[in-house]
Amino acid sequence: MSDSDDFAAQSLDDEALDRALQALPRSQLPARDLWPELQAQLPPRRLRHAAWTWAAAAVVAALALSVWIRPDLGPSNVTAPPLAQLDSPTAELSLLNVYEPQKAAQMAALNFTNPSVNRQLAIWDGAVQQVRSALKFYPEEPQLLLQLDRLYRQQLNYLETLAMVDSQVAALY
Amino acid sequence: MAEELQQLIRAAQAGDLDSFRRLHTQFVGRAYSVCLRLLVDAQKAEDACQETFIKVWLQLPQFRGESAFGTWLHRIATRTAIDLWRKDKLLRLTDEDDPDCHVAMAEEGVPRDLEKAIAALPRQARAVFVLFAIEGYTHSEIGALLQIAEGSSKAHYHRARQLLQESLSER
Repeated sequence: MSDSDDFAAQSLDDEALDRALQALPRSQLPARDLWPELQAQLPPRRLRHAAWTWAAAAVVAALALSVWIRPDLGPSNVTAPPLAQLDSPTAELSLLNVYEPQKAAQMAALNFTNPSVNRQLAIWDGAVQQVRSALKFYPEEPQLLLQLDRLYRQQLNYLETLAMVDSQVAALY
Repeated sequence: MAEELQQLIRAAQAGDLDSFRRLHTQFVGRAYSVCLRLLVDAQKAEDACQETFIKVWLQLPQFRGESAFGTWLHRIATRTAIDLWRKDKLLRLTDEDDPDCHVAMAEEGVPRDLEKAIAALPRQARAVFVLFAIEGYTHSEIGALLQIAEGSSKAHYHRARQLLQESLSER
């Protein structure tokens, strides 16, 4: 008589059920070797240093661009933390650390009451979130990082234009 | 042993396929087990298991070791199996009375009757029971995983226990 028959034969109170559950194996191997099939499905992965190279290049490019676009928002006013100080120095985080302070500074300087402006900014924010969601699955994908970089630059250019128009309107009164 | 595992993880994070194969060998049984108990179908469990390890491979560079590697992998396996389980539920593809389902559970040397009785439980009660009684999740976690209320999880668990006791006492 097997263990399971023994188990079934006894009256099944709570303790007996708990004992039987404890005896269940936590690991069961599949009937066939899954590795060969899995290996064929694994996407190639770039080495980690490739991500670091990209992150560093992105930071340098973004900083240079921010100085070129608007000198008063350059490193003298907005200081992006160096890579070594980041808790999780991914390329995505590096971009966020460069662009988000600039965006926050521009937003704080402008007082938006126009709903179409807010709507436009919300569209960019939505697009940024979508790209960031995709980056959760492919954190080192260059095209996604490039897209994130472009979206932030577009948004900053838009904010800069708004600030310029705002100051010209203010000068009229 | 722990140091060897850490070395394998670090090498696999850097893209070493042979290290990842060794991790697969070490953890595939645990991942397959939870997939099989939730899905009660060997083919679907294999599919879930493969998907699990593809996710692990993709997410491995972000693994920082805040939890044990086995725990991290097991969570991915559970979520992957539940996603398939939910799709099955929506498409109504699973036949609870399909005898083939039970064949997959009848491994040599395990308490076969109990495995069969668990596999024969109603699907929602089975999922809750497997997650709580075997995999050690809390009712709150199960509620979040299965998108049901915590109270419903408790009710399903008690019903499952009752059904199991009745089923096994009849044998």
